[in-house]
Amino acid sequence: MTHVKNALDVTLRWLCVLLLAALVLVVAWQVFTRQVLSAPSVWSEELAKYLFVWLSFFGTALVFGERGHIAVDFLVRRAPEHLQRAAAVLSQVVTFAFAALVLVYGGWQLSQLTWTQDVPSLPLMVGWLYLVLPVSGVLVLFYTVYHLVAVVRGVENATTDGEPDAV
Amino acid sequence: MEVAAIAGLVLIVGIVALLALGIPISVAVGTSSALAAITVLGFENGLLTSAQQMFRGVNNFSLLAIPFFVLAGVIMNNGGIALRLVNFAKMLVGRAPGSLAQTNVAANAMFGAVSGSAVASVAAVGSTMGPLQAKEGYPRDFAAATNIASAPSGMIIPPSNLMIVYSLVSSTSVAALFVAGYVPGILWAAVCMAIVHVYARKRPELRVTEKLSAAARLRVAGQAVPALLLIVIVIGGILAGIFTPTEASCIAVLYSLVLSFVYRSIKVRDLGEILLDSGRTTAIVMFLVGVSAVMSWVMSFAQIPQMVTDALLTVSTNPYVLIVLIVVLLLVIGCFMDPTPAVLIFAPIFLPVVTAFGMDPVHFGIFMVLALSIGTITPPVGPVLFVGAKVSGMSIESVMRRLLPFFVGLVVLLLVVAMTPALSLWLPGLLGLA
Repeated sequence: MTHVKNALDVTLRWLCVLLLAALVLVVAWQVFTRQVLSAPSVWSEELAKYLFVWLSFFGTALVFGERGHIAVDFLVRRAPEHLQRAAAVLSQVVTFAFAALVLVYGGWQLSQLTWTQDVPSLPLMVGWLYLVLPVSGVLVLFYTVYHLVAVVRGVENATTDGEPDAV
Repeated sequence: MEVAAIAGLVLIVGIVALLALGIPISVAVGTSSALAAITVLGFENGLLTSAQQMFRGVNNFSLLAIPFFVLAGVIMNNGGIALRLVNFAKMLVGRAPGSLAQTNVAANAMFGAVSGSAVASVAAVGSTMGPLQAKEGYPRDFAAATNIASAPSGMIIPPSNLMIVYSLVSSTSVAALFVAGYVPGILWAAVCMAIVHVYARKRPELRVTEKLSAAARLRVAGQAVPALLLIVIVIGGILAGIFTPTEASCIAVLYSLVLSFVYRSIKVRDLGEILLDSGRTTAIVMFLVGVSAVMSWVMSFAQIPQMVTDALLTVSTNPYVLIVLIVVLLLVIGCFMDPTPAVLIFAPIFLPVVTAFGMDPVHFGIFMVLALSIGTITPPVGPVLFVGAKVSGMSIESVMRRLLPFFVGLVVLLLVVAMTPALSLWLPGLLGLA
């Protein structure tokens, strides 16, 4: 399972780096066509939006893999060790439920409903774009199971101590 | 009980309970909102609507400015830009009492004016200024407190991602919010400078006697020009209507990248890590934005903002009393929550209240961002405090003691900004933005 996680981590990291780099280039192209060529590109804004959505959801999965989403955890940190562990387990269970219900189930329904709808200005179907929800959802499911097992077996600590990220 | 009330109850109880258990804010908000949506629309449609609202919330071109400003901030944090701004600030401050502490404040404000990340600022400026001040005999806890107290000014001085998030939930113009942040942001720095002055006035040892020649001054100023030019390009470009904020943020990325390559402070092989760092922060923020879109949908269905407005109006109908009440609530919220989720969750709740007694949404945005920025330097959830203490090598407790006068000064500033609309609205009004 650890091998799968490591491979998945590396893949998602690369995906995020490439998506963000592509995003910079696409928007730079839009500025260039609008300001310099005075002939604004018709597809760049749509494409940038969808790259951004993919970056957001795949990045979300990656951060779940790192247990990096911000929480208000000062109460839990003051609790005794066994309660911390219980809270960590619960956290993974709730995340699993959210990913299964909203991202995978809700996202899949949405994608099916719009499968044959055209995206204006790009040769894509709306349903394909919504597919990012169930796909990233399945990745989140995998990560929550991984962390759940790791916390229960004592391989991972109940609380994470990362650098505080001001968001 | 009617279905709207049940949905509202599920939402509020769910969020509070899940947050208290230490579950990530985004998951707490998303799960409770989805459950509330299910109580309204049934299982299938509730989940479908939740997924749809989440996607719709993220799928927004103007929010693209967020990853770009984050990316520009990370690039500048790695680059030699902070160092040149520090040197320029040092020259401007000259030989005033406590000059190095004053330099720290000015450098944080300037770094904020080009990047907008308080954490990047407290780390970049603090790690440069801290050792310098220690060498000149400044007490280390005081130096750290000055750095921490002044860093959040960058979240109010544009560009500011927090303002972009607020503009999304309040439907106000990013340009107006950006410009409105200048006066209160500079006042934040001025409050810090005043407190430093009071402290240093009676301590003649806290002066630097070194005097720069005219040639040296010119050189230092010249070196800071490329970095400061970013303000002209980004903010000037937005105000002149040349760029949208999203396009301007992309220009900021390219410009800071070119500068950092010229300064040889980053290499091509660092780019992967820089992009990854920014991608992570973007994902955390955007996932919050997505689940907040589901929450706003449920909240407006359950008429929660209306209930809060009615409840607050029964406390008092005097606008000043209500403002003080909201100030206290925002300060408490800011202690426990990062500013972005706090804006996403509470702006839709408080905005109807304040507009009901005639407050301008742009003014409220500034006042809210200011209040929540104070929260970043207070425990238990204070990222700027933690990072600032860490780069200075001091304990949180010893820094806290020195931080107290700054904290009092900033709360007074917050009340003044909240009660005086002109401080926020004068400049945007002058430029025809509000």
